[in-house]
Amino acid sequence: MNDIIRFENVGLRYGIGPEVLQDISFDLKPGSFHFLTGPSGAGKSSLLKIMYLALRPSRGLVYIFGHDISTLPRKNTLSLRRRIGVVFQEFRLLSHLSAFDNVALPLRVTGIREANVRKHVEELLVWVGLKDHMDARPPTLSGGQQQRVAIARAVIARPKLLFADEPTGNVDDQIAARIMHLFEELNKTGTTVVIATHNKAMTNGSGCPVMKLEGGLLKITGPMKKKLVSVRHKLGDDKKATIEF
Amino acid sequence: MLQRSDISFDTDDTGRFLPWLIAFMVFLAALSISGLFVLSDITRNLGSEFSNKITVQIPVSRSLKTDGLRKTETLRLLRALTGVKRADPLSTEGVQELLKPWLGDAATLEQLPIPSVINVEIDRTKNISVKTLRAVLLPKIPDILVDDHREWLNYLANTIRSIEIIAFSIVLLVTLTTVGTVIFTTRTSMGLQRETINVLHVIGAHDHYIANQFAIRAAWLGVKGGMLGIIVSVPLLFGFRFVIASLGTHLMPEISLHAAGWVSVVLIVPTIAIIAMLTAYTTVLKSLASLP
Repeated sequence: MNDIIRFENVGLRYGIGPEVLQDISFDLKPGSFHFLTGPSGAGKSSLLKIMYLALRPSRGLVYIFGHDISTLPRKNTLSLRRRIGVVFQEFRLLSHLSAFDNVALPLRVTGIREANVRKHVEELLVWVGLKDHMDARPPTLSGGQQQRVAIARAVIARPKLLFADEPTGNVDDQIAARIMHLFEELNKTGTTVVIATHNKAMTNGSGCPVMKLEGGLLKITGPMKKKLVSVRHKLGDDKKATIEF
Repeated sequence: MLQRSDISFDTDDTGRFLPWLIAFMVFLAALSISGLFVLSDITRNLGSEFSNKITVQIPVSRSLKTDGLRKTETLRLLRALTGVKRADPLSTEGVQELLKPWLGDAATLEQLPIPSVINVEIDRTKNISVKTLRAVLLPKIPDILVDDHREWLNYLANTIRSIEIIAFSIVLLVTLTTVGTVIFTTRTSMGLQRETINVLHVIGAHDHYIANQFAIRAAWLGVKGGMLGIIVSVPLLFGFRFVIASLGTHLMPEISLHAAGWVSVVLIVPTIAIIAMLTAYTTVLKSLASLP
């Protein structure tokens, strides 16, 4: 099994309520780029949570990096979580830490030496255009800047799998295009990317498979093989030859 | 805090309440532990001083001459007994001094009938007891009184032992209360920090990494509270000693805390910090086990 993620007849219900996810089956190949869409309340966030191991399904089989998570001991999920990057919808930055410390978190939790942490974090913050805001706390940053800190935190440990929940929901089209470019670049380096979004302009004609959730059921449209057309053109940022943050 | 923390404890009010409670617990523990040491010292001192001693009292008779003869005869009988190491009469001034705590200046009045007192030191390995002395003395001097110090010493030791048990119970109660309070405040704090904990969990933080941060914070609060408790209790202990010494009475034994006692009192601070740290650590680990 060389799938990064494989779902087989997965169902999820909270408590004794109805199933919010029903018979979900799909797989994600290494290096693929998927969009996840659906109306509000369709279960996108729940599906993402199962994929980034923050939630266990009520039924069905879920394989992450080839491991059946229903039988995997809890202590062994740690190494899987460290190979996954997540950009949360509301960023979920730690407001008492600086941008630098927020981005450094995934490295520090793995016990990497502080000198290496500093080097990598500074490089990445420069790359995402936050060179002058390294010591700033999230509440003092704009929405776009917070978004970039959140993305930098998600990618600093070079994840094999990246999830982004509405990563462009709070930013204008120009910043959205830049963020998408960043995801494209990551995808080119082999990271499997899944982006949950409402933005039809982003998904239409992207050339990427679109996983559509509706009423707890999943339908996949678009080519199954990755064929990523630069999404930023669809977002109206095609005047820039290179993307700079 | 002692080191950079990924969890914002500054906004967490549980950190304000815990040191005060720990301070109170440390205060109680310091008093109890000091009490234990003092009582243990008193028991040991009294035991070594009086366990082989017997007091013989010869009540006053109608004439001074008879009193003198009775005293001489008693001394002779006592000194002739196997197992009696010493038999020394106490001077009238010595007896007056003993009566002073009860009678005050009246103890020195000439008219007061003062009994003759003989201090006897025995060797209990020689099979001698208060019964033996009574059997020898009573036929000759029928109204003589023989007191074994060990009898009231045993009574005192039992009383002290009861007080020691109470002091131990207080220390145990203080420990359990501290553990319970740390569990409660840690859980409350985890509830307040749920968002941060979830983020740390998702980005791959080991449970021990998260638990360490709570443990270090609990230890720090334990040190703060402990220091506060010690700062209040140490002057109070000195105060007790001063007040009892200034009473100037022989009714109270000398109360002083020796080096081992002071070391134990000071060790309460790191002990309470370690208890708080381990409690917070295990509480967090247990709670995190419910995360996927």
